[in-house]
Amino acid sequence: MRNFIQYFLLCVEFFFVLYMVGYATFLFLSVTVGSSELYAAKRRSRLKNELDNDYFLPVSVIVPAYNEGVTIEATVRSLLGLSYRIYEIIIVDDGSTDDTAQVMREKFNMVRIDRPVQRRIACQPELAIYESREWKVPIILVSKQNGGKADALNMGINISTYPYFLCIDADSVLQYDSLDRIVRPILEDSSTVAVGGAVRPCNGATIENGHVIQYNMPKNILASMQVLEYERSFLASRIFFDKFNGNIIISGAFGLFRKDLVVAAGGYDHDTMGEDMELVVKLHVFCRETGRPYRIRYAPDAICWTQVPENMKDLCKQRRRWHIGLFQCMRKYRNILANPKYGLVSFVSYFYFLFYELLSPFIEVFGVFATILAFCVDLINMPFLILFFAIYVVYAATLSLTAFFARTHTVDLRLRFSDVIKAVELCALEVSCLRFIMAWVRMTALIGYNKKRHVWGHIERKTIDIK
Amino acid sequence: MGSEVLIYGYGTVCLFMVAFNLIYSAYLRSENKRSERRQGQIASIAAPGANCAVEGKPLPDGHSKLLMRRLSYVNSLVAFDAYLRGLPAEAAEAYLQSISSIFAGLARLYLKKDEMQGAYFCHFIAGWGSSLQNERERLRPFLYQYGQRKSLYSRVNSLKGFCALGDQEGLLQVLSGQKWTFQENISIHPKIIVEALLTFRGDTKAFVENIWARFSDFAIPIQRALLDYMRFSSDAHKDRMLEIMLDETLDRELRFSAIRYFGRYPDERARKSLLQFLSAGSQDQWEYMAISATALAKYPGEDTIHALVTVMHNPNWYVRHNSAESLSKLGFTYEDLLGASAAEDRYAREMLSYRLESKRLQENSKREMGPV
Repeated sequence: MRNFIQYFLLCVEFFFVLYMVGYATFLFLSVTVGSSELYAAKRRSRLKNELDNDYFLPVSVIVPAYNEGVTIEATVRSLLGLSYRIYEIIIVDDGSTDDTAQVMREKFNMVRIDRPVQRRIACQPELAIYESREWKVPIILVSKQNGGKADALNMGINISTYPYFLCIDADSVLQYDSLDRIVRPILEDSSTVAVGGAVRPCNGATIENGHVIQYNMPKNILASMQVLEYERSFLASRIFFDKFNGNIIISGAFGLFRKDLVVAAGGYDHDTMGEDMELVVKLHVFCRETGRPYRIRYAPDAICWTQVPENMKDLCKQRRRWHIGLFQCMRKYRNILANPKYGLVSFVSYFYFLFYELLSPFIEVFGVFATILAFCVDLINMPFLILFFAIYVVYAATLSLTAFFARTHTVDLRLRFSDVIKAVELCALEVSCLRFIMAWVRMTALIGYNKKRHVWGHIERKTIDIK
Repeated sequence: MGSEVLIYGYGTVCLFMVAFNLIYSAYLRSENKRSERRQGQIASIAAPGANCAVEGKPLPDGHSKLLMRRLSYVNSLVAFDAYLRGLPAEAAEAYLQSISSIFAGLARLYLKKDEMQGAYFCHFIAGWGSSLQNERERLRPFLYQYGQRKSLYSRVNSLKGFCALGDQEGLLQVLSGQKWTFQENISIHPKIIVEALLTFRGDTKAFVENIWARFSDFAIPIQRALLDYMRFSSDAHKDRMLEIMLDETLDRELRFSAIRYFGRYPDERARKSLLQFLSAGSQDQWEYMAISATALAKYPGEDTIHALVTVMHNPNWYVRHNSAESLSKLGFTYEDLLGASAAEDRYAREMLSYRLESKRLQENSKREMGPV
């Protein structure tokens, strides 16, 4: 029996060495490529290698809202403060049970109007449409029967006027120049069909008229750890994937799409919880199957500020939802795996998301149990284990900090010394504790999947403090 | 042993990363000071020359040579740009004219540097080109080369440089040389070309004549951008536009552009063709119908109203939408709607009444001059 366990643990060790080398290499590549790209972008900007004139593509900004009465006014006001000129704001009230629609009507003087809807993508019917022309750009409010976020976005696409649409979450705030910056990749390369912007936690930031006037690490520890996680996992890896047109996710909180192509591909899928990822993978499949040249880009300088959960319960709900969405999407497009037609999208992006995102919680939790088993049968080298874990923590924390500092340096954010210390302390805590808690949450997310696959879960909203 | 090598390997990576972060942080902290020092140095070199230029005196001996040596570094060129912006406009112009001979040499030097620095050089020329117009012929071959590079910014800034220099010959050369970019799918967006051309500081009339004379030399997307430029520039091109609009052998995008031109600058000669586009098109020609429906808003008359009301029954959304918009611009009212055949068609009725309501909302908001 002991021999069997020994042999089993040897195999486990071999697997984990391979797995960790793969992850460490990916992390290293993504952080170095991501950071160097950010520094290069700063140099490009200083040497005026960017489109700085007023080149405007008309954009419809779609905000799906479900029970967002607390945040919706601030969100729309932030949208009205954008420096961009040609856009319209479309709020899709997805059958809210709170006062979302009422807040919109009263605060923005909206008038009911009989506006025909071009129903190019199936969605729940509209109940009423309101418009206001009193502001810098047209504001449209569509009240519709509840059908979920994807359904609300499809309604927004149907009613939109312009050839590009931007989707943002109702609890997000766009930086004043974010729209100018997110359209640049399309002007730079007309084969670009979608652009993802950078989503950053606004907990701790003071935003005035879309400008960040002060930036501190959030007071809440959980939010602070997410700041570091966002920079490492999202910013760095998406810049890396962008290098080979391999991004298969654009955050639903901030993404720009070419409307005709999204309509041709069938719009957002109602049946997945990760409708943002599903759409991007669908666009990859659609463009490759129809043989059209395309680019899906990431614009790290286009910034959307969003609230991240400040308590563990909400964070778990969010991550559970993300993981179910990831699972649904990976399962739906499983034919991409090891498919030469998809090139690096298959062999790098899909592979990474499968092994280091979807399956990683199972693998990590399995690793913890294997370590406990080895400890129980006295087959573990404790000093080596401690050294290994310490190196892992230092390595991941160092790369997190590199990505974090690359971001703060390149957008000229000045951090206080206490924030730097806080970042150093918390990044170690994040990789050594939070990561394992989230691994457990994500692993258990799929338990009872059939019952929970359409349940979003309510996350507590706070008023966004915009001056 | 193998695992230990791995661990120490990763430990080393960590050390390098930490060192990189610390060094880069220190470098960034000193950046402002270095930039200020550089600006001070450039100012001390340039100021004697600028003073002489303003007073109409010859430049100090060796001034141009020293300046050229310093400006061959891109950071110094950035500092020089900042220095010039700090001078009164007339002084900057006089000074640049007195040192203009160094820029052809700099253009040659920057061609050997990376594309980012080359693009910055073109940006500099685009910013100060109006003061360097006497150098346009010497700069032309170099700016042309920048305009053929792979970097989009190099090509865009080269285009802007030619516009600032008022060099129509260079501009036309660089535009006709863009054919390869379409094959490699790295072309410049037409909007960028149009915006750049609108900043042209030379003889616009001669430039436009030259465009027409060499129109067939350009790739179709460039032709389209040039037609858009004509649309934003003046109403003096109606004859050529009419030819393009009626020439069935031409690319449809060019013909669309010509239709839009007549939507901006009405001409009675175009009315008949616009009405034909609107009413005679089959469903695969819906774009002609939709664009001419918009253009007809500038052609009041019974025939226009009749044609627009007729196509309100068209199954294509955009045709109905644009027709309704034009009808509302032509003063079509609720009473007219009730009397029109479109009233029996639900889709037509909805679209028309929406456009009329929308127009009313817009007029109300203009009257009230609401917030923001």
